[in-house]
Amino acid sequence: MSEMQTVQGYELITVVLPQHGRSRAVLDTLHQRGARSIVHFNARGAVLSESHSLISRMFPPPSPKEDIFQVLVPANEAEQVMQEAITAGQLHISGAGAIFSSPCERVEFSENYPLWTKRSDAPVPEVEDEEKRVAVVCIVERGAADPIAKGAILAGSPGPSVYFAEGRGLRDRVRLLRIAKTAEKEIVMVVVEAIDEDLVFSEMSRAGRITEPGRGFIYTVPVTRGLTNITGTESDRKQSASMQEIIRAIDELKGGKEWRGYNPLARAATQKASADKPVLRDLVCLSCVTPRDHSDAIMDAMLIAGAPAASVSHGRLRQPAGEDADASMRLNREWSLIQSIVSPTLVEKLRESVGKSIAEKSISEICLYSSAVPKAQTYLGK
Amino acid sequence: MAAEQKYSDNLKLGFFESLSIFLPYLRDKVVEQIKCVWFVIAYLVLFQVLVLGLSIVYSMMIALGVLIVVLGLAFFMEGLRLGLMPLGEITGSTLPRKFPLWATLLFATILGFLATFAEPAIFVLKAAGSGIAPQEAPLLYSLLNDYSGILVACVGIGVGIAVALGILRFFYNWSLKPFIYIGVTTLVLLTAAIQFVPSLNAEVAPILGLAWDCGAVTTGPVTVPLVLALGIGVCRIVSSGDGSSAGFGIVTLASLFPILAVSLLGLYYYSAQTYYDTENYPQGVPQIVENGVVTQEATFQYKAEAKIAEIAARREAAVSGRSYEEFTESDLQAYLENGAEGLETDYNIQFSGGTPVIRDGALMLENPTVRLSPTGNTVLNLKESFASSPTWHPEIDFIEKLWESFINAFKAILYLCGFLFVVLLIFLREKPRYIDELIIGFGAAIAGMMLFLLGIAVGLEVLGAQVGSNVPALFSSTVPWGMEGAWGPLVAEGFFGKFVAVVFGFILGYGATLAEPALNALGSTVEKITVGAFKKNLLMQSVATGVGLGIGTGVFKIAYNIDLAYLLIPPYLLLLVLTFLSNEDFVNFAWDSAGVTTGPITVPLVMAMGLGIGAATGVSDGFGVLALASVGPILTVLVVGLIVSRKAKRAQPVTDEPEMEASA
Repeated sequence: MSEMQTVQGYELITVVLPQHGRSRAVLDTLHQRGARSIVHFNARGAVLSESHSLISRMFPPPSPKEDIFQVLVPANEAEQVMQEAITAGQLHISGAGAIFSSPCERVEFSENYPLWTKRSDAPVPEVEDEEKRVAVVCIVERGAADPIAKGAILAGSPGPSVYFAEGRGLRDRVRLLRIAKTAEKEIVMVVVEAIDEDLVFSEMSRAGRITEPGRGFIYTVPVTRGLTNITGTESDRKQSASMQEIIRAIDELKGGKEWRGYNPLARAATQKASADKPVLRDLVCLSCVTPRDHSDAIMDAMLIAGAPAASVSHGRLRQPAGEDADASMRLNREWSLIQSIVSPTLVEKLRESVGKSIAEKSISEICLYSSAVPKAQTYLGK
Repeated sequence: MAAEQKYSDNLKLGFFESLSIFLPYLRDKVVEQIKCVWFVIAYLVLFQVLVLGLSIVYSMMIALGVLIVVLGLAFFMEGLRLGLMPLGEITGSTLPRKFPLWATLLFATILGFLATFAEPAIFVLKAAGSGIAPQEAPLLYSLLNDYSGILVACVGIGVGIAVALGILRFFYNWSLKPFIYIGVTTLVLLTAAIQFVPSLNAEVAPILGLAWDCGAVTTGPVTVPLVLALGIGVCRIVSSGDGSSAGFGIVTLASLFPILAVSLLGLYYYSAQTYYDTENYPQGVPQIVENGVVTQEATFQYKAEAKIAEIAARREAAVSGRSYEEFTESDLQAYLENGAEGLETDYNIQFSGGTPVIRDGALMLENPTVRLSPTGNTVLNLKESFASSPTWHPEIDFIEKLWESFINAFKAILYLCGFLFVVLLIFLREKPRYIDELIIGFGAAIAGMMLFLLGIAVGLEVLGAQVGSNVPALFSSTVPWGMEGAWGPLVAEGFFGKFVAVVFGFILGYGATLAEPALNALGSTVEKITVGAFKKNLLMQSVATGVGLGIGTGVFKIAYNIDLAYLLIPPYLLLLVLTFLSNEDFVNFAWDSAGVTTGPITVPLVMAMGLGIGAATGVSDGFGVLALASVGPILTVLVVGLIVSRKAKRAQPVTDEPEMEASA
């Protein structure tokens, strides 16, 4: 029954919005365009506070809460959809949120998965080189995200988003001793312009001590196009512009971004620092979206196939109001995003194993896709 | 577990490799708890030694007890993390999908009812009843003695309804605010009526303290994490998820409803006139029979001077119908020299607490708190009794305490977890991923709770009682049994001494609260549910400050003998205003933390101090301090919430239009 179909030419759109902001409007817009597979994750923003007083340490001010929406969209419609979302969410305003799309390869989906069907075979519009961006993502133990987010902000990134995940891997291989290892992880995600990538990547890696054993994993995901308007610093009320706004203004004045990495000495130093630590290149991230009840089975399948680790984040499927099956008692549908980053040779094995599990459990709502991971870093053993 | 077997490369670890994973884990957990408790311990010891100038009695035993507390807390918190909270969350998230609404609510009611019986603190309240003098507070006496079963059942039904209502709230996305407005207004009006209507005041007013304390006591270290986890599980499925406080609020309702239930029960018995010394009292008026058939013997737990009380108690039985006996200084001198006979009047003696038992055919009170208060201006100095400071209390039976705390822990966890487990496996047919992990969790929780109850009994409580009962030495010199420090009263009979005592109460409350396991669990839950946006520390510090303020006020109440109603009603009215102004998240966090603060660490420390100060000032009941300790944190969390939200608003982006348009 669970016939899997395979399609190409999709992009994953991720929208990050401050809570109580314009989430509703953006969601409505996406629904109107025909998105039925939006998964909603809760996240928090990371804001660098200038204050280090005893009071602010005793009563640490809460971080802003954020909503993250993810949806697979046909690549040739992505730009149009994103523009509409930007208008609905007023994302061009400073601090209003972020939106970006990243390319996905080989989307496999089951019959009941509400994938956005392609309407035309129009070509995918080209993206200017100037606009190139990269998402830097870092998975660490819960509670370890703040220094990493701070490192990213200090390295010039916009405000990162942090969300929760559960990790599996080593923990499930040590029998009862697993109680000593917590499965809870935090994921720091930030989209930076390509010119800032190296510095932000190495600063996050350094702040999180990623290359030490058992600390975590950091990787990049290419971004086709995006707009980031999340402030990373808490500005004084007297200041009328945030640091990001000031940088953008200088960009415009200088007519480019070269001035930021202008100092050749500084650039060489950063490149050297990051070259010291070995970097993994050209891995693949296999993602799987499915109802939460199946997440354990899928993770098991990935781990059995030889994935060293996998992480899962739980969110909710957001469908337009009134389209739920049971309208009298609206129950949330919990969906999970399962991800594992492996070498390209292993991906096929993983897909096969997951496929077997899907057939075994006759899972009817599931979607698999892989995306490129050009660069990653972690502890690589002695 | 089946899944685990399938991994081809299950790691085979040698003994030492396993140890190298396990030991750092164990160390981290213990260090975490040391960070929680060191403050209150160090504070108590320093206060006793430096400020009061007394040495620590039973120092070895206390040191051992503190060690056991730390170990126990470490185990218990792990038990919560591995066993109780996952169990609650799985059950919560499965219930609404597989049960109809009514069955979910029925489940919630039963859970709340069981929780009441599972919490050991409720039995402490029951035991406190034996110390009430029936002539002074007949209704309270009857409630706690003749009708104690009905009382506990009433509290249980209150909690049951509260949990069901809390769950129902999640289904329909109701705000917590209206519940608070209605609940608190009703309670305030009821309390005010009981306090200020003259006919009610005389008879019913003494139960007010009990009623408010019942609210605080029902939400203990087992119930709170379990109910929170359950709420979060339910909310994962049913809430619209726009607020981040989803899953909270049950604890609040579970603290408000028992107050209502107990007050109403009191009013019912009042109207039916079926309590002690009234026409319909079924038992008739009890007689104290002479000639040793029914005697009251007091074993005073921590003081070498226990014998004074003992003799007084024996004599009390001889003087029929009288509830207290009086001593004079010459009596005391005679006692100190000859050890026993011939004491006469100058002191009031009262009992509170303790467990009534029958021993050798005589009715005796075990471990009551004995309070002597002077009727004259006699100043006594019994410093000699402190000359030797034994390092171990001879009368504490370690094995018995261990057994007692094991039973309490076992009951508390078995009732609730057993019920949840059965519902999950049999009715919901949901198999958790790692059952072995859950079982280890339960084991750790039981072991942990047993250890920390034991540690509290032999360590914290003993230390707290010593320091607490010595605090009045700050402002009073009229207390017998050597309460004066080696330096005498720091400030004789004055305002300043009382002020220092209030400050002492504040810091004690602050420190003890940081060590409370239920609050730690609440803090972690808040952090988890807000995806780390609210740091645990923000909540912990605000709550601890609030409890400190509350207990400081409580000390003030006892020191100046102010009626509870005057101190409870105005803050609650202020809370209504603050609740109205605050956002939903903080309202939930604040009101929930109120129920959480009065746990196994705070209660004995505060009670000991309250009774000590009460003895010095001649105030009879130690009830009510806990209720004040619950108001404080609500107040501070709401205020902190208002401050940080204002800050956050400032940092918000400047959008062109308000968000009205977005919702339209």
